[in-house]
Amino acid sequence: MNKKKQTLIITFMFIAVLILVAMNSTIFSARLDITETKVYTIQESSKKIMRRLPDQLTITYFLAEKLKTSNVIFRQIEDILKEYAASSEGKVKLTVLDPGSSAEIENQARSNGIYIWDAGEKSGKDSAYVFLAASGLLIEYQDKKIPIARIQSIETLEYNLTAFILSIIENKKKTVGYIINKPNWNNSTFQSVLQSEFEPAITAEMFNPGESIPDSIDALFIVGTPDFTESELFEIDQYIMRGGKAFFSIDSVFIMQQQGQAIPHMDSNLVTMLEQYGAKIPPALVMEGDDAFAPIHDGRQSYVYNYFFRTFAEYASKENPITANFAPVVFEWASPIELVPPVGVKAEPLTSSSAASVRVQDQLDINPQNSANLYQTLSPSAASQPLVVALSGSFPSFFQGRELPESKKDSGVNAVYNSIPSRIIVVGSSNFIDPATIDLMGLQGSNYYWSNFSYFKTCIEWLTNSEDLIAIKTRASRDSSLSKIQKPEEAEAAAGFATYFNLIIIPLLVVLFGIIKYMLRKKAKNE
Amino acid sequence: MFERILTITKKELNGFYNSPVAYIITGLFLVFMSVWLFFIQRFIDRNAADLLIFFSVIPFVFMFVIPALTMRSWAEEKKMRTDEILLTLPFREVELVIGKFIAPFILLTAMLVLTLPIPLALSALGDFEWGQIIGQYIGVVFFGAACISLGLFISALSTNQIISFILSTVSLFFIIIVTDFIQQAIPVPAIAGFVGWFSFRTHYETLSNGLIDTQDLLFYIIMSVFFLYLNTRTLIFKKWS
Repeated sequence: MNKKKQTLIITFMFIAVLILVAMNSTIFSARLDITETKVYTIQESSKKIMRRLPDQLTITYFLAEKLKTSNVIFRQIEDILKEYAASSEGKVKLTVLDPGSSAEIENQARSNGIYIWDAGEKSGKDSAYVFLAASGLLIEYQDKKIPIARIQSIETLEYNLTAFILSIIENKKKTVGYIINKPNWNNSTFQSVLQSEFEPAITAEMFNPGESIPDSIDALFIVGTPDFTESELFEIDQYIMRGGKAFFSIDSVFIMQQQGQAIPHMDSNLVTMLEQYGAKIPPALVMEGDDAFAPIHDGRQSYVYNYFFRTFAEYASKENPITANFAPVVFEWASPIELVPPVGVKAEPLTSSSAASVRVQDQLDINPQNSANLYQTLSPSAASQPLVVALSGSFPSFFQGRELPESKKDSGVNAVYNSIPSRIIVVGSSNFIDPATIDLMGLQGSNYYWSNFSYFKTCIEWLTNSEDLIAIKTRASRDSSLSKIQKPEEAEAAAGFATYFNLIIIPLLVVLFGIIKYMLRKKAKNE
Repeated sequence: MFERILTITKKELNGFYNSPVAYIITGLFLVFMSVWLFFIQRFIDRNAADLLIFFSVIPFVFMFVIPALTMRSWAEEKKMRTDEILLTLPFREVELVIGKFIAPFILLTAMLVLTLPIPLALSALGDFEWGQIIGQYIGVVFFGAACISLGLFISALSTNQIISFILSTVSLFFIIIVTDFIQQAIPVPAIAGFVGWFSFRTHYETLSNGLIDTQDLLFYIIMSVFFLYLNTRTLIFKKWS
């Protein structure tokens, strides 16, 4: 064999070895998740929950093979599911099926509620072809079948899946009750938000004021004005006395936008009841300094308003799991909350306003034209004020030492006057989770609303003792905005430095280095 | 062997740093990256501590930067007729190729290091996911290495720098962008998956999300080795001819 032939053979053999190595790389691969929040790694709490599964759980991932090769996110979803199966010690079985591969699998996916859509791709100048796209989960356990119709991101995948597995282990889906006491509340939007955000882990059930709250309700949230009759309050109070957990998102003042004024809600029983539990909502509003503005967009222009503001990491509790991994929230016309815990109740502020915030009381002028001046006038008294507080312990009943409402006196109800240990969260604004925020603040409002809703959801999880789930959820809710520097002029200066240092100084240094090198060479040549 | 590789690398690096080309390419690269981030993409107005928009454009920038770095490597030698002298020197072909590969790789790494002030300066404004940024830099370095070896191979096939630049740009365009379209157009998943495996961009995406996958690293290593190997074979065949 001549040398040329020999070299050709070696070349082909070398290429064959490379192909073999490449093929093996897809079979034997290792992955290292270097993200700080370990986005691609399932958490220890998820693994522990899976190992508690009494029976085998089957996850079928309906995934179009073409999606997997076209977008890395679908491969990552599959990888996370594989990790579930691997760390479950045989308790989770994973099957991946392509609905486009056979009519039988397509029917199986469709009949189980998996969302299948036609994805079109161009295959030539004038031609295109369509393929069946799907990325949905079917979770089967004993006789239960729960579909997650469409998954396109990994952010909430672990949370949803672990929440579902937890509900299986506890053999009970969490149920949350809610009472809305607010005019012009868009209930259909709110219900669809609840459904999309709470399912499949939590079911939400609406109650009318005065309706009896059964003990099967894991947590109750009340949104709106504090105008409740004693009889209506009795049901809420007794639910808490029986160990029920509650979230209150309540206005202590009535906002009259047209008149540019807010007036206190007079003689509100609910405000008195909350004060008795340990959280006093005074008839006042918080105004923030210009560092904390949440810009409002009216469709034409953005403007700032001291009564609409955001929160900062340094004013969030590091001890409570709800706020330990800070996520900013936005407030509109929020009242401050004073902590007045009775004996046996622990009160902690979860989120507070910044040290530059002021309290507006007595003359509650909310006119946007006057807000900046009003803030300036009050700024000497600026101080941080609690906006969301958590209470835990044994609460005294609102009806302790009071007469029971007339309607309850004759009904033979045995009132409980001291609660068994429970938890309550109080927010001094009904706008906190009001879907109207989306309309009020335009596109920005939509972002604000979802960050507030996420915070609210975490509160509900804390109330229903789902700390394991909070740990999974909060890791993704990092403050990813460019808001580390709170003073606008300082932030602007830092942004300017970053821009022009990198645009001008660094390239200039490179060029300067080149010129110096050139001159040195020239000098050496001459010598 | 290493000494001989080092000699070639030094010679190549001197070639870069003694001509204005390296400074012009580096300067333009840095200016473009800043203009792209701060003015075209309006990073500050986006208000998000995430550099994905910065790193996602790098493959496209490399389509022009890397051919500019590699075009003169062999083509210049051929033009000046120094390739024949080089091949008669006591160097093995593999040493010549590796030495010529390391020089633009060092230059590219230096260019990337000079972009580090961007995340460092921006970190004053927001909480960046540093794991992701490290992954993005690792991805860019491996991606760049594979592109350089392809550029060098094309330079070895050409006699003219301009032709080498154009062919390298077209090849990188094909392997970075066109493979994605071809993959999308193939209705058979197994074949589409096979074609997709060759896409430089798909492997880069995983790394730039902060997930270090041996599959992706190995892909770039295999591609680098493959083109460097073809480069040595080209030299050997040239010797015979």
